[in-house]
Amino acid sequence: MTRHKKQSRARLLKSLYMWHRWIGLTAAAFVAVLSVTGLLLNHTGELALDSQHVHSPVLLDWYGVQVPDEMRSFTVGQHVVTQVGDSIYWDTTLIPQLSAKLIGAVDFPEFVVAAVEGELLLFTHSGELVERLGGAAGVPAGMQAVGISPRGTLAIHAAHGFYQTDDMFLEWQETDTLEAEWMRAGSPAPELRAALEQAYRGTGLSLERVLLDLHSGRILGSGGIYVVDAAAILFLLLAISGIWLWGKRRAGIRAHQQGKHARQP
Amino acid sequence: MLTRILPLLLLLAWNTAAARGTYQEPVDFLAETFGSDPPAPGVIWMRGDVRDTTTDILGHRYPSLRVRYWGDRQRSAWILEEIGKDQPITLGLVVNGERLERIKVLVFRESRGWEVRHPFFTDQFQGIGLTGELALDHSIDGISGATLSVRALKKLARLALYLHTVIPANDSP
Repeated sequence: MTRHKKQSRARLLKSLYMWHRWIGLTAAAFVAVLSVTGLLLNHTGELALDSQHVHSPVLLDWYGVQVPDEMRSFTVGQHVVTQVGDSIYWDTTLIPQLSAKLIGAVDFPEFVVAAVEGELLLFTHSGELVERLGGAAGVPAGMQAVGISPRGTLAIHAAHGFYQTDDMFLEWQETDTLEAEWMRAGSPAPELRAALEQAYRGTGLSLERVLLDLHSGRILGSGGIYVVDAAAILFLLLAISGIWLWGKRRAGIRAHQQGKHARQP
Repeated sequence: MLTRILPLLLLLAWNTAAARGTYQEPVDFLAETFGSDPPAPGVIWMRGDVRDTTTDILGHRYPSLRVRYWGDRQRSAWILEEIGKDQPITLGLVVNGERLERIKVLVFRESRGWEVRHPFFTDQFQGIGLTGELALDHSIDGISGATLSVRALKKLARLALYLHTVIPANDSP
């Protein structure tokens, strides 16, 4: 091999070492983020990441988690049932697994009844769910309003007429007309509204969502995916250049040792 | 390459979306079980031993304080819910003489594990009963990829069989 060729190869090797180093340093930040988020996401169930929520105003604003302007409240005794967006709150506590339009809420001596599209929810006065009643339990379709019938039971104005039920909500009676005290929605008091805004924003973004978006790059928007794609390509380049440099170094050592043996008497 | 993969991805997305939904309205399940005139409902309150045993079976408290049933101590129908991974699965169950007569997935809301709705899986529950330790007295073959849904169905099968035993005697709901 001529001296010129040797110098050229040495320069190439040096340049490759430099590139390998810089790619490695750049990829290190991505490796750290992807490893930590990946490890956490692998244990979503155990860590209950889906039920933990992010409270950082910066992140909530970044995700555009905003409180809807309209809130519809029904006062039931000392409590208030409110619709905020698709969510329904008992005072400031979110009613889980419920995403429907709130039609009304009525206070009875035994239960508090909240009517949502297609369902009646029976609560104790402390807000514990007693039962969810649907069509199978006789709840009429197309509820438009709920109230208290003249005999003190639940009255429903539905798509096909008026209904009233017994004290235990087991049997239904259909009537042509019903003079009932129908419940009307109001606006929550300012203090309750402020607390609901905080509660709504507080449950609007799960930790799992943020970690998933960090892992995929979507936290930076649609462009973030390409950033993570670029990181993946960097990892590939790092692996290829690493293997190539290792091979070169090994070949060099072997050649050096062979030359040493040849020179020995 | 993309032209080959894209239809597959679209098919997969459509399949997942189509798998969620209501397979049978609860009211239709009752009509199918009892004919056009289903019996009046009764309720079991989740109190004392019933609550404790239910908690043992499910591994958590039942989300409501009372459960509705239709029928009597001989034959009863139940509409129960249990969360698979994130969303509740609504199941219709019929118990006849302390053995399951049939179960059916009525509403499936999860994004995975929908295979449990198929008769090849639910038929395994037919004729199954409870052991003294409130376990199912026959094994149920699982479905890979639907572990949590399978687990939810097995829990609800045990729960319906147990709740059937606590229907009050001479009950005419």
